[in-house]
Amino acid sequence: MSAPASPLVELRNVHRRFGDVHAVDGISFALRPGTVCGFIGANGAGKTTTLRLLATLDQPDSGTIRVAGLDVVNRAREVRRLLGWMPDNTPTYVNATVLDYLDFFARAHGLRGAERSQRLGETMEFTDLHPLSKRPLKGLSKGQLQRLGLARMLLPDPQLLLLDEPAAGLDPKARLEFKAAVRILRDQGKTLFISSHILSELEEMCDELLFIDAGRIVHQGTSETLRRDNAATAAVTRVRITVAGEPAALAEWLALQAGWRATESLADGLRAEFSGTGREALAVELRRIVAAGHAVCGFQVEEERLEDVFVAVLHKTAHGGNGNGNGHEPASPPSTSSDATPPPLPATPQPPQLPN
Amino acid sequence: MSAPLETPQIVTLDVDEFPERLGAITVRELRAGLLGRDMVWLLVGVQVVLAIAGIYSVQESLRDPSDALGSMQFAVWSCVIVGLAILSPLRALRALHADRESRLLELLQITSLSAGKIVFGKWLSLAVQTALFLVSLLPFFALRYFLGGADLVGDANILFILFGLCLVTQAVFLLVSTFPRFLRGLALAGLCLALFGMVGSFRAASMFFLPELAHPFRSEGAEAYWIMGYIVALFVCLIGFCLSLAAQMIAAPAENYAGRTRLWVAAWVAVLVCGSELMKNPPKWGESAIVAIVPLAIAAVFELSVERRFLSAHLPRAWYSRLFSWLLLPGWQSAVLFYSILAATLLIVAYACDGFSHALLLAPSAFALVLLPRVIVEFVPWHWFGRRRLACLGLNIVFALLALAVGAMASGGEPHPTWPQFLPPFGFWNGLAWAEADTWSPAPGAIWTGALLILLVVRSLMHLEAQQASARKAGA
Repeated sequence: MSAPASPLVELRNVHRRFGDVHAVDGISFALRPGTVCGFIGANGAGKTTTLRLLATLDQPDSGTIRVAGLDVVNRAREVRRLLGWMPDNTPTYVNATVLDYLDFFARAHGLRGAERSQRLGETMEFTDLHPLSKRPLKGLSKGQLQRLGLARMLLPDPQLLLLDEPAAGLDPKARLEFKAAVRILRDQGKTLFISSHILSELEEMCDELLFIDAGRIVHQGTSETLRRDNAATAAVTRVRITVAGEPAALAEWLALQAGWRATESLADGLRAEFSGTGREALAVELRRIVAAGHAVCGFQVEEERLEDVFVAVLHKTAHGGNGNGNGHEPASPPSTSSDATPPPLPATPQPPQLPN
Repeated sequence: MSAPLETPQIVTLDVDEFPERLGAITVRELRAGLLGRDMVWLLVGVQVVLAIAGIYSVQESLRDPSDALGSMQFAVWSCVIVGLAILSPLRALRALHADRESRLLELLQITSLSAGKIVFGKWLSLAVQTALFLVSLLPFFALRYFLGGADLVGDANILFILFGLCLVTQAVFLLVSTFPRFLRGLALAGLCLALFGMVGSFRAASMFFLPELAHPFRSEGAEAYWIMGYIVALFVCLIGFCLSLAAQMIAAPAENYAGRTRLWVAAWVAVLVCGSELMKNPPKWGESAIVAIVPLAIAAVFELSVERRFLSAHLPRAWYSRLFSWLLLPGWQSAVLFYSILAATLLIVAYACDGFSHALLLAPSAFALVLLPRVIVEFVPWHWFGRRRLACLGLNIVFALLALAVGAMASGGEPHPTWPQFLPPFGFWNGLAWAEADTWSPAPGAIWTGALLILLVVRSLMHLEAQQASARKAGA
């Protein structure tokens, strides 16, 4: 049996304060080489601060951060050769064209002559920027700028790619392209650390998920481990009920029933939680609903959405539970953040985003 | 993202218009600067104005050959002054600030570019563009010559000084562009005063004790070379100091530019003392040593405001490491020791050459004024009111203004024979001494300076030891 690969990224008890705000509060985690890790948290949870610490753009107040065994504070120059950094927006020069911009960064990374020309060609081909090479940057769309940022990051062929909210503001086509790029980079053996507050897109791309809240890691694992851990302690079943006619009457009726809670109104019905498990119990409840005169067209048990699981984990940690999924590192003490409060019931279906 | 990286279709890219040995930043800034709208308009506009003035002058010369130069002279020098003294330096004012605001500096920090390369590349591209602007004016200088009556040597004198001053101003403005927004306005106002002061001191020097300064090319033989070399050396030191300090302002935590900045200050002081003395006959070393307190004070005001955490990356590992760790580490603690040694050296030079009273009257006061804000910031909990570094810088500015006020009051509006004693940063302590004892005795200033210095040196040694130990531990 081969020995497990040593971690490419390792954080131990890292703290970072800005005045009274504890942006990063003793986080510890490790990433193996070749992993695509999603870093998830609400706005202000500490994602960008953690990424900036990893990118050598900031220093921790205490704790150690190592990339490939190198300390990011004391050996920053060597660490920078290993990483690529893509901030949430792509800073550009006003007068430059796409090619000027990329050529500048290629030179800045020390690429010379034929090597520079080759890397420029490769990255522009990969990000499909050749048709735009002579276009001024100020005329580019959000998706094109994101491709430009990706190309800039890939120029020195880094091992570790740090992406901060890379898909924010992209249209569906650009998101699909971005996901395809992530898959290709993963196949090439790159390690990607992607922060986002949009869980659904990370769930599809990532091998591993890290959840952060109020500067603390509340879970590390996969989406499955998160669901499994949550299901083990959760005693509710999520059900989607479709009715013929007005669903408001069913919502009112459920509100009066013990064990039921309507969570979301839909055009043709509603989503609800039933505080019980087991097929027999659900069959009894369905019979009761029908007997009460509601025209039920569909009754479907739903797998819990990752957003809901995450909110539940936050809620649990806020009340003293332990959200650590797979035991890679001990989870931090439970958060007391008010962010952990479950969001209000939306009237219409919303895109899957974490509460801000 | 149409194709994976393994199967790239290599396309020839036209990106080799600049030589490889030029730095990335210089190439980018030249691309942006030379093609930028303001540069194009400046070059085209100047050519159009001068062409019209040239045609007018030719017509005038045909009519009245005795007054051929009037309009051409005015047009050419107006363009030179506007271009070199106003437009070119102003382009530097937003150079680093814009990159910091757009967070481009962060992207640059994780490339192989150091802060020093970034700052120097920006300045070099501005210098090249200014030189291009000057070259574009040369045909009109030649036209003036052919119209008759032009003094090409005199023109070269003025262009030499103006171009040098422009390069210095660009370096200073690059430094200012690293300041926060609210400090930039303050710094600009101070700079305007300083620039007027520089022009004034050049004028005063050329009028009273160094007439060769007004016409450096007119001097003959070795003297001319000395004067030119002195001016160039001063400009180089000032530019080096400003660029190094600018790099220090934008550098990543692990980069150490404090050592480089201090070495530039030492060079600046040495040039000021040695250069000016070597041109005098007989030399008066003591006077120049006291004048050299001014650059030392300017540098110390900046450096004593800096709060930095030591990292093991800052600690050198060679034989000179101990000396470096004491004198050239970032942060005020090391700065106190470095500037104390430099000031003491100047005092010894002044004492040895010019006598006790002269040396002690001015230099300790200047140094005390620089040290005092650091002492106040260090021993009073200023962090209750916000950032200590800003508090230190603010206090220095307040003390400089106080020095002006005390100096003005003490002299009673009348020019005093020892007027430099009232100028910032000398004025405050001397004014106090004068007000207290109605005497020019240096004793109060010297006693206060000694006390402050002992306090601060002890404090800085404690910090240095503790922080170095912690940095070594972290590095291990």
